[in-house]
Amino acid sequence: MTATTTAPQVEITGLHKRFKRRSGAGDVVPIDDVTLSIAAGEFVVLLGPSGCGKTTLLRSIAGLERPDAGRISITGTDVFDASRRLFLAPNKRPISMIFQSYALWPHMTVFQNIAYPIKSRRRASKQEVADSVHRALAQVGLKDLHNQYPGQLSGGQQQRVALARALVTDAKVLLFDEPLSNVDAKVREELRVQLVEMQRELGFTAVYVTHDQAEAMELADRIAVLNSGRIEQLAAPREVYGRPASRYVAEFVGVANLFEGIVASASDDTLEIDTTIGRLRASAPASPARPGEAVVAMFRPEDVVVTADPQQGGNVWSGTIAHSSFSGAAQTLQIDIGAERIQALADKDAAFPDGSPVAVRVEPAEVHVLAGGAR
Amino acid sequence: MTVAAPPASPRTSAPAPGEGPAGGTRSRWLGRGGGIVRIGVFVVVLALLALLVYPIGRMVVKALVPDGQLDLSAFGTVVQQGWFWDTIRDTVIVVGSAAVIALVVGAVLAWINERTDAGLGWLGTFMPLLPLLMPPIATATGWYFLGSPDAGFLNGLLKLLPGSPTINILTYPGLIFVYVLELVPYAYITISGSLRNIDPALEEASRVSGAGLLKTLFRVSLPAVSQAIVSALFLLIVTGFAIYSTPVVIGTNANINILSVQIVKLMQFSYPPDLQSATVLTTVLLAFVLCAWILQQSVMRRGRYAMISGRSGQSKMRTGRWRYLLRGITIAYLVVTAVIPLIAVIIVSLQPFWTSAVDPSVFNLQHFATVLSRRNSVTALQTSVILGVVGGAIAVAVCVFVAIARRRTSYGFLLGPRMAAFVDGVMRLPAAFSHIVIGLGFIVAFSGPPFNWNGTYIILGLCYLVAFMPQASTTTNNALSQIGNDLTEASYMSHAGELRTNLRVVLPLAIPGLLSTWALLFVLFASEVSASTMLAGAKTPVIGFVLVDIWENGTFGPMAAFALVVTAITSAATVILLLLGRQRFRRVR
Repeated sequence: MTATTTAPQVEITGLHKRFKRRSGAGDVVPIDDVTLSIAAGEFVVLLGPSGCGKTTLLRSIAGLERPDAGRISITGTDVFDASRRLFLAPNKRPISMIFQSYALWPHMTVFQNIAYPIKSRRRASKQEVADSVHRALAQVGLKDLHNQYPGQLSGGQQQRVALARALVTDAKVLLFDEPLSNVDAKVREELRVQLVEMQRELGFTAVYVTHDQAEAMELADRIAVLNSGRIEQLAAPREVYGRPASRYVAEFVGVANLFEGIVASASDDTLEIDTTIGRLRASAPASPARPGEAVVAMFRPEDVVVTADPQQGGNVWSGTIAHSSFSGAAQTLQIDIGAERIQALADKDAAFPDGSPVAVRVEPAEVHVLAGGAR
Repeated sequence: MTVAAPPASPRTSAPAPGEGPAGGTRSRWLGRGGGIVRIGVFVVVLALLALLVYPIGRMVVKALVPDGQLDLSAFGTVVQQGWFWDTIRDTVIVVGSAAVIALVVGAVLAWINERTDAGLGWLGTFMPLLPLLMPPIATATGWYFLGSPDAGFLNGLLKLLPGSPTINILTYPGLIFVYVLELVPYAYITISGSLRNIDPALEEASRVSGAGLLKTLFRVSLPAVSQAIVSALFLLIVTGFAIYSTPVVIGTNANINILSVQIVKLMQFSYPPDLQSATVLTTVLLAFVLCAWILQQSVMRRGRYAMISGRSGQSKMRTGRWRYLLRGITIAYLVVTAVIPLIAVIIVSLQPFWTSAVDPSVFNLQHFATVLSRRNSVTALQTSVILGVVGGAIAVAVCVFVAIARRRTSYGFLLGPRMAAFVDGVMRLPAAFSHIVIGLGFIVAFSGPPFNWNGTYIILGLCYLVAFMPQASTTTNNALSQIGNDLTEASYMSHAGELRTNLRVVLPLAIPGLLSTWALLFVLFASEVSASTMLAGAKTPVIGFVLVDIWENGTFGPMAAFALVVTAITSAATVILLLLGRQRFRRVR
């Protein structure tokens, strides 16, 4: 039983959405039986490549799309319920949204943009409106820009104004539709940090759509990885990275060395898998597998230990350095093992000239076993 | 037990729409805002359809079944007239060849200005606006002054050359030439719009593969917009049949009989007006136009044209040494269409008598004084301006209303996709009929009892509204479609409802575009000639009516002076249109 304090702020149950295609090449199903429950004050990131349905899901919460089936409730109130034909108009929902394009109204000043939601909701005195606008502007660190027009601001400033506009009505739930993909890398980094701090301070619930896995890991309490309209995995960033639920998740989040193989033997704490680079030993598999079963073995580049001395034991191979690339904090090695190639991370100062022979080792605890078969 | 159960179960398992808190929200919306808007759209659509179908239907009925039963005697009488087959033959020859030539010229000009570095920049944007700057009747008159065999200014100049060659505009080639000048902007607008959307990679690939400029033009660029070219051709044919000012000015004096002129002549310049023959001729015209549309539909349906998707082209093709030649073509078109006819009209308006011997020392403003002291022409200017301002505003208001209703709202779509397409089709439908057809339909339907609107503002205003609804609707939709969906969605996300979103976000952002639509309609209303000539009365003379009237009286000086006054008014409105239409709020990315 969950306590009342963690009652879900946004609850999505059995949501479906289907777009009919005119040419009849099969329908597109951007939301396929999604159930998701988001606690108050939680920061959930919907992560996936373009076309996975993450934006449609967000827009359904906003009320900008009308799903075909399922139920959505926000702060305990149902806003959509297909079985009751309930659809609450987006302007009536207790939410705010920040758009990829900022969507600031170009004919209004920054002040007017931010004052707009307050005036939409209720009649407020001039002083009240001005106080709220200035408070919101101070929150995003743009005190002196209220008389400017959006066209006069930089991308980062515009997105801060958009954030202020979303914050000004004290909405409990904020929706973010890839808000940082239009600002340059440096500003993006700043805004990310600012966003997390603000969310911790103000305590709003955030649903954030992105295709950038680094952004997702940095921001999220939990990440929902979406694949053709389904939630493939819903977990904390560490878990999604360390224990991906599927090959799809492993490939999409971070860099993965993946090898298809057949389970050779299985015991309580160890699995032996025959793959194209030889026999791989994995300890403590998450899900039990039987001998003869097709699986995928996965390990991360940073878990590959690369040394110059040949070694003995399990999960040890000898290979040659095909290529190394320096990326500041570390260097990435492409290592050929027979016909296969793996990626490894090595200390930035270590010297691995191209073509030099190396020994490669992976601890069985770092080898993850994923369901095999179709990708 | 078993008998009692079934009636109860449907109610509990499936609540009817409109029940429960959910349905309450929705039906309240449809009941208040949505319902009224939906009814409004239906009223507009029905009114437009009625104003189109009823007059044209009555006209066709009057031509074919005058006394309650099918009677082709009126048809027979007209067909047996000596001029009938001449008119049909001349019209088909002139409109057909002018449409094809205008298509080629328009396509080449559009390509030069949209796809190559030989475009004229801001001057190129004047191309589609030319017929607005210079009313077509002024262009036609200008060329009459330039190319008449006896007193034409060009002949005056050519006389100075050895062998003294002459040109004569009052011939088939001459008439077709002026038709082409008038039709080119229509081809240009249609084709340039889709050329703009070609992925430049298509052309770059062709050039990289070693194809020359012309090969790229004819093998890649133009085939890629073949759909636009086909629809442009049919637009040119339909528009060509409706053109009135060119044939009335040039054709009449060249003894070439054109259908549109013949219809107006039967109505306006014969006594008593021969309504029966006019309706028969208009029905024939209608048949031509409908054939063109049916043919277009079947041609367009035959092949599914590839959609041109992807990034729209900013990179223009380099033309190297061809650049000056290509630029020259555009400039030559502008000069021939606007500059020299305007000069000719100016000279004639200043000369005491039109003569090819130009002597600036005798120039005076006497013709302007004459024209502007005549009650008829002053009233015409007033009437046209009032109709343009008021009628234009009404048209914009109607189109904004329909366009907003067709937009996505916060609770989905007010009109289903099929309904929206139908509404759009009705708004564009009048384009399928020429102004003469609509004008004559209005006379047949509304000039007698029970309406008795003959020679009133109402009949003129309604006719303009119906005839120019396609232009009004297209331009308004363009103005509104420039407002991104994210801006309205951001308004919903800021807790604003439909009314507030439209009043505070959509309309303020659309205002520059809507003002320029208004100016466009003003110009179109003010320079309309063919329907005006038939519908205007002694109490409500309009510009087009007076221009033709002066022309028919054979007084060239006053005609030129009046045409200049009109050109000044429409040019001023066009410049306002250009200034207002500039996007004030550029979005910075």
